[in-house]
Amino acid sequence: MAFAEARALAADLVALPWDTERVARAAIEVTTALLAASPRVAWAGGPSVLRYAGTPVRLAGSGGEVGIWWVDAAGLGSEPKLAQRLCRITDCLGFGRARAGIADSAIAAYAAAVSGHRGTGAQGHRRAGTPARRYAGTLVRPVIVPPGDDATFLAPFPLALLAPPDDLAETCHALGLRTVGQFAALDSDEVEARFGPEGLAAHRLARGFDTRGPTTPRDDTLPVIVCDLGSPVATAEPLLFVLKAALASLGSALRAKGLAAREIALTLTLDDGSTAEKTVRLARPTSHEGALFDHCRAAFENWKLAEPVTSLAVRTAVAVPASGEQGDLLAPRWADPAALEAAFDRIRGSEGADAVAQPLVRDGHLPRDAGAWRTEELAAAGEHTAAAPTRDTAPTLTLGAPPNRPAAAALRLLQAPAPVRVRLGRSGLEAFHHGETWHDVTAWSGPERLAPRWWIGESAEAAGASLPVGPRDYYSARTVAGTLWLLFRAGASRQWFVEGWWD
Amino acid sequence: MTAPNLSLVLPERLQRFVPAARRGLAFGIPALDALLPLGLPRGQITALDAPLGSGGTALLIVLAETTLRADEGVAFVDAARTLAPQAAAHLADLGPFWVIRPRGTESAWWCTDVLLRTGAFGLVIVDQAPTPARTVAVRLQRLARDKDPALVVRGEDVPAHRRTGVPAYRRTETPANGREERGDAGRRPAASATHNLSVFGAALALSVRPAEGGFIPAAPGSGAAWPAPRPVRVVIEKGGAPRAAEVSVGAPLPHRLRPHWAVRDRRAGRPGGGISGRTRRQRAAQPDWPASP
Repeated sequence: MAFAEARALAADLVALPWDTERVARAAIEVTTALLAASPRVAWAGGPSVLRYAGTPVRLAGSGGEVGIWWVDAAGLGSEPKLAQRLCRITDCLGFGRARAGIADSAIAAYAAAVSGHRGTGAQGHRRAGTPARRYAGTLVRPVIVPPGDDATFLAPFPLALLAPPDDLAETCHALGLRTVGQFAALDSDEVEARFGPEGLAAHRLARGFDTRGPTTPRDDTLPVIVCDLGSPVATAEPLLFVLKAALASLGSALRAKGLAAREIALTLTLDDGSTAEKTVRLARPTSHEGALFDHCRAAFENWKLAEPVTSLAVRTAVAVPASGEQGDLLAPRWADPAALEAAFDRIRGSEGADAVAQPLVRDGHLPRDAGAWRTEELAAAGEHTAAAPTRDTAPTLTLGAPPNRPAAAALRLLQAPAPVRVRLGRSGLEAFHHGETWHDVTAWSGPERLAPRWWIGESAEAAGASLPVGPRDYYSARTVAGTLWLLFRAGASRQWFVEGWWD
Repeated sequence: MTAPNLSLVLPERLQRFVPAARRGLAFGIPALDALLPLGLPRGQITALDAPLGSGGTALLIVLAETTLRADEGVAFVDAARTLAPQAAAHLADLGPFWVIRPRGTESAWWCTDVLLRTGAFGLVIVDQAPTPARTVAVRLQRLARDKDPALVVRGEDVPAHRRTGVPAYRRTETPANGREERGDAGRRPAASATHNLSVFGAALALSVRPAEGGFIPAAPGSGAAWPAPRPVRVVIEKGGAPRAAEVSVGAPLPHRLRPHWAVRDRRAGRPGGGISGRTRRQRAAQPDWPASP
């Protein structure tokens, strides 16, 4: 109705300018008051209307979105009593014409609210069995849509209820579609094909699928990324390319949920319709796409498939809350621990479990037993606890020592002692032959007799090398080049071996 | 009271707030830090030419220790798998120190590539790896530039005869100072014992050689602290003014192997020492040491 027409009906009608701030203040007042009835209330006329899923209750005001509130009625007991309480609240605030509708979806609740009315007349839509009650001078007749009947309830409403775009409305009018039910009866694929995504959204509303409401949706499903390759792929490079993009999406989805992946499931659909699946377990939960890719790439490297691949699916099998680990702001360098662990896993996968290790000292009298390597496996097994450095193995230089203190030469040990030929003379050891070279000895020292740990049944063969059993006489020899070598001789044949050198 | 000269005072005061110019990694050895005032360059490759037994590993260990104390991670790629764990065990307590021990020397560069990409290390040391292909070297250069660690490369030790072509029957170890030894006619002067590192195009190249006259006393049991720390000479081959510095490197031999004049060799033939009393045939069959002096 235009203002002039209304003025003709009521001469004392006064037009007031629209005060946005005043309206907003009133809306806040109402929203705050409605919170007394339900913990989840959203004003539809505000700048941010959140999209939720739940059981909304919509209060329709004098018209438009400004006077509409979404109130979540889930888990709050009797829905009619809730609606009455909400209306009583609005009555107390001076809004005496509030109406309430209760349904599973927001669109159905809105329709129920606009169809309901205040008064004693049987006007508007009223479902059979809805009681009319009197409350303190008001008569509220909330319209309650039974659960699961939203589509049926919406069917007789005009198409304008869905607020479709103009072109969609004209097209539907031209096709003779007048009601929501007629529009909902169409096939969704045809609607999408003809009207596009806007038509599909309106079609979903017509069928009662509406995610609007005051509650936060609980999406408990873990993210899944599916990529259709289009044509069968027989090589790994295109798969890795698609995998990288899929993992980037997966990482983003995990971070949005505050999760980190502990286990990733890779599913490949083959050309013959079968599927191949592999699970990648991460040593450290992460959502970092680089770390995820490094782990998953290793799974592809040795994956033998009978047929080309037509589709790739990446699924988070196990997710945990993200730790939110951050580096020190003042640290000169910090990197994602997950990325570092992924790099170590790659190296271990290619070079062996002992390829990544930390050195530790051990209490042993043989030069080879004075230290050990702490790998991931041994750390998990609780072995190789570090022993206190002994006088023989302690380094001779630490930072902060007097500047003229020499740097400690590091012992280098051959992977297995190598037999060598020696040349003896009047002064003892004169030379030995190792690495296709004769090394002339300028000075030597020894022997020192050391035996394997016979008390625990250890022998030279236990080391995996073909070494003679029994005690060893160790010598150190300085050669012409200045290198200090570690040699020993052992066994009944007194064979000489070189075990290492100092560098 | 005269007013302070602001032109002199302000720069000094401002230095406290203005961060110092970006510096490389310090060695932790005063002589080498003086040789390299800007430290080892970050984001670039440093080539270390240190033959076997010259003390190169000792310098790398000290460099790693200094870097760890500066709160930066260190990765040591032991391509030959010869590093004894007890030599570097003290580093694991200082910070994130990892030793990568690939199965083969050829994998060392791939491991280095993976480590550089993490960006988690301030120092990556590649020890005793074979010469990589040119493409690999270029890729490592770019990774070092992008991730900003100091990448130190020590080449694989190649015996001198492989470089000089000396026949097998003439192959003897050449003196470190390059002089021909008396009595060995035909032996060529020693060439570099490490293979060519020029493929890296390193920003800094250092060579380590034992200094002349730095050998231990010839006779054991002389009462001296043997083996005494010996000086090694570190020379800047590239990336700076041609200068050298001497650093002492000592071998932490167990005390048991250090001879003492009062402790006689227990393996002497008789309680009085010496090997007299054995026939020539017996000595030839089982050579033994002469009695300690």
